[in-house]
Amino acid sequence: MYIGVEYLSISLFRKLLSEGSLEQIICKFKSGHAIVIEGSLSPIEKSMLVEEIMKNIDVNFFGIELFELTLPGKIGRRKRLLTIMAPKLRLVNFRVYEGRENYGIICELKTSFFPEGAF
Amino acid sequence: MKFLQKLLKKTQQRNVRLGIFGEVGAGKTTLANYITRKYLGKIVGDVTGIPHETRKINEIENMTLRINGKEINFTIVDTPGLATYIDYREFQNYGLSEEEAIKRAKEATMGVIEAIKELDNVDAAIVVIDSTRLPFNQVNMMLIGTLELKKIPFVIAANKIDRLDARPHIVKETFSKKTVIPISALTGENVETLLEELAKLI
Repeated sequence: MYIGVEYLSISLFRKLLSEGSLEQIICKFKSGHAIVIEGSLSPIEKSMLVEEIMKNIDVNFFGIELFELTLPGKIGRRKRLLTIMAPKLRLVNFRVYEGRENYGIICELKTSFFPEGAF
Repeated sequence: MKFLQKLLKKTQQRNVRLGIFGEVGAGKTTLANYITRKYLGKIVGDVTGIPHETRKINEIENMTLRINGKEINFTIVDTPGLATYIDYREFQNYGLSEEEAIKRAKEATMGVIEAIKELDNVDAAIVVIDSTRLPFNQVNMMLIGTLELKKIPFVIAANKIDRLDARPHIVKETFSKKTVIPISALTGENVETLLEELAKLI
């Protein structure tokens, strides 16, 4: 299993969401990737995403946590936002924290993640 | 003239499909039960304390309430709690076997989908927020944003004010432009006010 954080453009994410082809994204979550997109999803888009997530929950993948963070500065008059989708898996749990000067993504690995003899 | 009066009466007595929405464990069923027990003498669903107890939409039809001199016929729709993740292992902490927990989690995922779809069917809504938790999260934002976009009138119930750790003022501050009523669905405190505020929007 590869653990990582991936950046996706919001336009690509929206395209996949509107076409109902989120399989690739769900696969990324299931394989231990958090996804970051610059921008914010609309409430309707979020509910579409939650519906898709619910359809894919199983004994190893429990869903995601959604975080929306505000970045310093503005684009024109609009706030700069960042959306982080952090998967919750049986062996891996991503958490997001907001510090004073930075944001962080913590990846917690359960001890059973490492098979015996791995080291 | 008589026709107009009849039409007016009919409009006044139209059936309002009232959805009760919110996060898991916010107290939606407790609120629905309080309302229906008070006005109809029956309850909508069971409350056990185990998360995702309501996994299907429960409805009670033909509940007529006289609020602010206005007679409104409601269908109360108690919806499953919304969530972005469901970990079946949490249910095992409540004494469920692994098999039962997996089954419950599967039903809960279907419930979340049903609740999201129900946002297209309701005429008005009560958003129940547990005021002992922080209200600013993506589930509440998604819910309130969707109701706004669909132009569905709603009020926010800052629930559990009977608890010492309740902070309804934080819910009010977070949603300062919305109608927020601190309530206790358990004791019924302020539930009348909540319904009065809702009636103003219908």
